[in-house]
Amino acid sequence: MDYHKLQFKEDQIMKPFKQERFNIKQFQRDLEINILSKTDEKIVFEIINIDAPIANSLRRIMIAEIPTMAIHKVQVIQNTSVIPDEVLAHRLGLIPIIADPLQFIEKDDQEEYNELNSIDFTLVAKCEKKPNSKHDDPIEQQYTNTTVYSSSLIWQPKGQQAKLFAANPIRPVHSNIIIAKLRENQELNLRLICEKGVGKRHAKWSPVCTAFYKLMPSITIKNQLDAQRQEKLASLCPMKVFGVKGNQIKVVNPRNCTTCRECVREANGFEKDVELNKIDNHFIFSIESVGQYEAKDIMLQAIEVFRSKVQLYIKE
Amino acid sequence: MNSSESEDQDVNIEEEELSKPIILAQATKGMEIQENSDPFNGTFVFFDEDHTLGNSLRYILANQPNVEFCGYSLPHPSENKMNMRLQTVNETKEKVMNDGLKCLSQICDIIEDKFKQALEKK
Repeated sequence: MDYHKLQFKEDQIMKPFKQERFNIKQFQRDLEINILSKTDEKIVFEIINIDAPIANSLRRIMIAEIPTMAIHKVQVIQNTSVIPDEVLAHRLGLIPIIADPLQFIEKDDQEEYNELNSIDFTLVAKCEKKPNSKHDDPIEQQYTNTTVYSSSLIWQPKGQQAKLFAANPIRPVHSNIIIAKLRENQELNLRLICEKGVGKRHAKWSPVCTAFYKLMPSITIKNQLDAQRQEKLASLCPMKVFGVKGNQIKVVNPRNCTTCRECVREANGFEKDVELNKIDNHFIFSIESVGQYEAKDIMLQAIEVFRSKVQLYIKE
Repeated sequence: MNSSESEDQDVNIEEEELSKPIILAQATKGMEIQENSDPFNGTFVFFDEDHTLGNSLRYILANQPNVEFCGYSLPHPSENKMNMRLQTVNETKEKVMNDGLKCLSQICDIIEDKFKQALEKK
């Protein structure tokens, strides 16, 4: 019996139980990692022969315990827009900032702000009438600053920051995030202070749009099917998991399966012919970065954070 | 602060107490053992930890040799504490806990190596 196949019936999970001693050498031999797709922003990879608690710990760390920089304090010098101060501050906090968090340290409540624990920005925008505008023009052409974008955030380097970040200046990840909309004579004049934090404290510090995993499905066709039924089964699946090659129906894209269970639904008539299981030690991770880190760096950071968490308690 | 001294004649709050910071949550990490009377059985209390460390450490410890019982719980969500109960035979609980932590640290190294290898291949 395959000890790693998880069978899902309608309302229960059936898994054969086998308690094994954990052998680190065998873990090293069996562990396999393959990258399925990779860009700077998103990476999809699979880990085989790892167990759920460890995969879950890595996922939790990616979401909540990798430090980034985000706007934390907003000093409002002038805000005559229709957006209340606190709503504006909330929006500003959620803007992702490109700044290498490893160059900064987390700020204590009692500490003063200095170049090591904070980044300064200013946001100044006033909506004024343009000199040669006519009444018929669209409003964006009649006035300046009708919409305030994140490109208006101007970094104010302090101390050594200008030199340290000369190659990669500190700026928002996206320059087209709408912060507020202004009309005639409304003004925004704010000083913003960024601090280092982790997703556990507030979601604005999370470095991932999301990071999730799914289990590898194991789909088998138990019986021989005639050509007509083969075609019907192949067309049933919305994710095109099945393919008919020659006269044989095969499972061609098992990774696309989203477990919608159409292939085993009683009404469709194939529930005795198709077996739908999951393999419980094969995880397909998908990490999508917000922009401060590259997606692959988030996984490497997560392993580093996990290791330092554990080593904190080891007594030599 | 002269104003408050004249106002709170009825309220017995001293000036010193008001200026002490109120500790809302345990933000510092650490581990202690509750009532360390038995060398083989005990509860380890981890501060500022949650399921992230708890579940994976419990899984590793439960599959180590000489472990009779292992489980973890978070006693209350408002407190940042995690209790790990460990009952062992033949070896002291501190040694088994230490071995489990080292094993988990080795697992991290192995995953990192394999991930870096996979990145080079791609």
